[in-house]
Amino acid sequence: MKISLLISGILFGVSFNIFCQQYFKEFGKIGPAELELQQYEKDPEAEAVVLYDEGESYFFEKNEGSYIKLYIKFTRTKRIKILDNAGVKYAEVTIPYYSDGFGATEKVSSIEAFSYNFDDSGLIKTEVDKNAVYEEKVNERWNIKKFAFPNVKKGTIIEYKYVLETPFQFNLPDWEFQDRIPTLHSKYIVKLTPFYEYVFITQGISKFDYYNTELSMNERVFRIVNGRGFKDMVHTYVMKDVPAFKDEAYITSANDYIMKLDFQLSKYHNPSGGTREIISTWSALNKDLLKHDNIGKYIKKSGRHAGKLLESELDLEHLDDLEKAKHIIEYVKKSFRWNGIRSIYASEKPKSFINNKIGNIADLNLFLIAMLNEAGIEAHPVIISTRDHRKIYGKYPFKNFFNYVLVLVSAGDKSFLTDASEIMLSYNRIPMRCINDRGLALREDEFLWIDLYNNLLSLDAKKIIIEVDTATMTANVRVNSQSTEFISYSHKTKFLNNASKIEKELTENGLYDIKNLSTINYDKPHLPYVINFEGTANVVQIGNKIAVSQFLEFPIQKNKLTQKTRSYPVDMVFAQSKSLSSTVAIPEGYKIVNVPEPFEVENDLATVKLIFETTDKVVNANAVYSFKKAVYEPHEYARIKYYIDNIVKRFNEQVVFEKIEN
Amino acid sequence: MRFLLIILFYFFTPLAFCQPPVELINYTTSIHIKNNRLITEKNYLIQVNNPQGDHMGEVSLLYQEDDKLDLLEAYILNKDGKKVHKLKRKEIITRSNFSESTFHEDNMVKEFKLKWHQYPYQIYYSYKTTEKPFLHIANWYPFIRSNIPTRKAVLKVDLPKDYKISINTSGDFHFKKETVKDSYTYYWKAKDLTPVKVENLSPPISELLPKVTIVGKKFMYGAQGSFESWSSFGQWQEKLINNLDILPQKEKDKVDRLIKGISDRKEIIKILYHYMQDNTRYINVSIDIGGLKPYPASYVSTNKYGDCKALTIYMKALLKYAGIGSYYTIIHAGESPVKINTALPSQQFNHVILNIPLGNDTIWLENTANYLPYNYIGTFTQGRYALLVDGQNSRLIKTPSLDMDQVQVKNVYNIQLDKQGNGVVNVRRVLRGKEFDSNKYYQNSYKKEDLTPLIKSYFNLPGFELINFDFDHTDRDKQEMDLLVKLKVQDQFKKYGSTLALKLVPFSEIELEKPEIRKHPLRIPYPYNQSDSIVYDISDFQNHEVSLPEVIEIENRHFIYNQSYKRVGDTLIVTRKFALPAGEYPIEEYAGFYAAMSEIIDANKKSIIILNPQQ
Repeated sequence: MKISLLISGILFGVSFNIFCQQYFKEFGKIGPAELELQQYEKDPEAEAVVLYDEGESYFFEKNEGSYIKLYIKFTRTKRIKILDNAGVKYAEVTIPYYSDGFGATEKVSSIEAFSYNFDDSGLIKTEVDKNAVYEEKVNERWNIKKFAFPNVKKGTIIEYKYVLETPFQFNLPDWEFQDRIPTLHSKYIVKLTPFYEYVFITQGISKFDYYNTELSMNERVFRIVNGRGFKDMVHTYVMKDVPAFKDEAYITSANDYIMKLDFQLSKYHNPSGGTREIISTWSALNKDLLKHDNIGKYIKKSGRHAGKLLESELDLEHLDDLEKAKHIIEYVKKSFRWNGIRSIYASEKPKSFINNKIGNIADLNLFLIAMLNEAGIEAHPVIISTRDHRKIYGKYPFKNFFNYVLVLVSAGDKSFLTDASEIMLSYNRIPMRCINDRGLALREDEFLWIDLYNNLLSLDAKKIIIEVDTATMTANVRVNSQSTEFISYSHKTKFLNNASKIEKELTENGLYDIKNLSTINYDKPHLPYVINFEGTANVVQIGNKIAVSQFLEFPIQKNKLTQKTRSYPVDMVFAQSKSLSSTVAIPEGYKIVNVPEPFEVENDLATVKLIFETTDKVVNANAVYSFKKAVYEPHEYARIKYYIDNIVKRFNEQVVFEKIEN
Repeated sequence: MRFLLIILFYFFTPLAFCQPPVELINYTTSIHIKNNRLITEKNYLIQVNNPQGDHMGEVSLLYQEDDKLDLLEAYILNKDGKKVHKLKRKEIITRSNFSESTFHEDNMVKEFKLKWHQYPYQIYYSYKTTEKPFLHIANWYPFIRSNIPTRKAVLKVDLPKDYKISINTSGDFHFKKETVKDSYTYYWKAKDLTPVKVENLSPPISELLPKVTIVGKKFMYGAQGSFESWSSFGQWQEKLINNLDILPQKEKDKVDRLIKGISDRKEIIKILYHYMQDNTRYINVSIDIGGLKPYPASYVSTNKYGDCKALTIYMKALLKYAGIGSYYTIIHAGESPVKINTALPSQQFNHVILNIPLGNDTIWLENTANYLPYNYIGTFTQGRYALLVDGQNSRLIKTPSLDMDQVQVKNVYNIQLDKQGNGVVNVRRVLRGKEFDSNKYYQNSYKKEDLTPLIKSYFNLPGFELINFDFDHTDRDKQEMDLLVKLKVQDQFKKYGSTLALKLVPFSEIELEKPEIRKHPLRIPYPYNQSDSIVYDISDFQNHEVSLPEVIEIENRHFIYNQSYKRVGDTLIVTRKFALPAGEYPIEEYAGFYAAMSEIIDANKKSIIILNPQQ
């Protein structure tokens, strides 16, 4: 009874919507359609919906003291309907604005905000008190204005409007068409003057629902450009029924996927003649950055200091170039520290970096380049965008894409990438955070794109020896574990070679009474990290049978890929192979009654293998699985999921022994 | 297949054992009062021994916008004790403080970094804060963080002789009192303190740490106040809330409409409480002395939001207008709260609720959770002292404790399996107590699809799939709710040759430290009570000889646990019950408790149904 009522309720809501699809898109104007909307039919679980979100950017002149300055005025109007208690959080608004630290600042003004509720007394409109708009400082450059709507509950409509004025032409406001809740209508109008030229980059949008470019009817005059008349070029972009953005596991960054429109200043046409290219080609960007004070010139300036250090701190004589490079990289890793800040620009003078021994990633890696160059080794900066940053679009040579710099070294006949910030990594490896698409190598003759992924396997191998003690029904276990590359790196950074941390991890894997724990190569990044130990595990006793997990709890216990399909790539970051081999002694007085089925898959994507071999003394088991690619395409998802399902199921099956009846 | 790796070189590295990443070498705090301002100077000397300790060089100092914070000195000493870096003004960032529970506050943060590349190194910084007004003179712990060892810590307090104070200390301090002219100088010293860690079912951290609390008998904070007694502290709190509980006319009309024709006082309270719940939400804007002085009822009436204080005042105002008196009651909220030190009248609270005496009954209203039932005291506020504010009669009272029945959670599993061990599991959970509180919160605050991971976490069955789930709580004032879940399962039988084994749905154990490493006493803040009924409907039962695990009956001075079985045709019913009363046990009794709990765990391991083919 209850169910049928619910269904008819939904049907009613839907049919009502069909007749009354028209929601107002005008500030302050509320009609019955938005008031009665209770559920968004395309996403019935949505806790709130954006009814409309409209923005407009427009250039204007403003007197500032005795100067006339050009500003961009960005006006935004947004209306949201709260459909459920969980949606009440969307009734808090934060508006960020930027100051350049040299006196120029963006300004947020004219905030108007109302909530609307409908009850027996009619429509109740409540305004956000101007005194309840708070100002907070996020850091030296960013501030926010924030406010919470009053009188908000399930069913409330909220709307707000504000103006942001910016003196930064390079920062023409971008537009996100997508939100964490569905958006019914999103529109952005950009009115451009003939003086500043922009290119726009779309992300996640295959086609606008409406797009138009036309010349404005009105002629305008800027005093700043000698009073010559011009007309705005008006661009209008509309998206409708945009679904809510949802995060999925193993994606690089939400910034890379949310539907949005970015603008980048490309040219400045001086009214008195001439054009200044802000961006032109990758080749020009390459030259630009090499001339930049805090990139190319920084390397040059560092040369003298680097040369001194080479002389005083290192003995590189009689070494070939590759060995020299290794020594220098190790030296910089050991002597200087990264302060955690990412940038493609050095932040300090070389001298103070050397004195403080700490700096941002550019200070560190650009200085490393200088040292390598001084030693006669070819090395170049490679600018990249880290995994949590954004994607680089090949069409547009923008500096903003990049937030990190690596080093490309050519020594002898070898070329490799390196990074001085991670002492736990080998001299020719880069941290996981850097593995994202490709990077731009800056070189005097010509730039070069470098693929940052590599399909070099990281290995994890465990050798297990198990002897069952039938008196206590426990298993004595000896394990030798070895790992390489990123797996060993993650083990090292997780355990820090700390016995109690390793023991804790083992205890979580069902082992106890750990003894004779030792490790090898903790501080040798290029060698496998080895952990040896002995311990005790439980065995299962079922009547006169005992069951032993021959790989203990080391295989994957749970498949994290749980969705049926997937729209984004599965990004494993690096290719990996895990192997387990075990020997279980057949307990005295017992015989084998069950050995799990073997299993084998071998193709381009993965290898999954499980083999058993029994003698009259032991059961030998070998298992391997390797994921050969760092990134799998969405269409490969189902197969990857299937392989992991099989690993979880089969690798954890047990060997069973039965007591021999006398 | 052989070992994949061949090792050429063996470099044994010693495993790190004892070296802590950071140590607080010297920590001194000097406090004095000048012109009614509380001046506190703090000096820290911290040693960083390895990169895991670097984070202590990322310093954040919190202060209120109206107060003053002066950074006096900050520098780095390298391992030879040489000053290698002195903090420069431009390296200090000042920003707003952001906290999760507060929408806006006027707290600011000064931030800076002191890091060095060679270990060990030391960082030193000192700063001075000036507070006016202030409430307590000192709430001092000889730690910088509870997980960092302290080598030496000193608290020094200078106060005029006629300045009347109460002092409370816990822990071992070397104490000294000196007379200097017209004032006393107090010293508390502590040496070589090891880190303190909260354990499972232990008292909270602030009870475990050594501490010095100093309060002035008289203070000025929003109004003149006194910590002479609980009554005097209550009177001060009353001054702060005085006349705030007045409704605007529009709201009065609303109340008139809502309770028209109703005379039953309980009914009126309920109607007004529901009205408050349905029309307001929790938003905390904390400015100036907003930590203790509430916004008036009119603020909530306009905005329909407020923090716990504002919402409570608003509720009080609604009741007052309806002719029902109620008491603003301040309390320390939390599942395992800090015990109120009843001998030290002082500000030991962090939350407010409303107390309404009604004949022989008392009604309690929690005004910040619009999803909880009327007159409901949950794990968040149950069973502890609170200060009821009633002028001279202000006094400590105890909130009711949850009893066994009020926390009972019932789980009914219906498990249908075919020969292969595939099938469906229908579960009905009847939730009360803690489980009710938290599930009700989740249901209210998240949309359903976001709750999938939470619901899944309730089940520990091999390879199950969640088909659907629903909460059922139609009567908003019912102090329990149902959770209905449907799962799909596969391969539930483990095969041992021809023998099939089926592990019983595991009992969710309480995690506990081993007695060897346990340091603190046991505190069970509210009872546990779980009863499970698991019905197995297995189509292949008749073709097998079914052997059941042993019946379990554990009863001891701490708890009761039992598990029994009943076979009816193709179904098997497992009944299980666990009841653990609230209580406190000294550390000496911990081993016994642990051993008793281990019995359950061991019994659970053996809780396997075995099916052998019929001969």
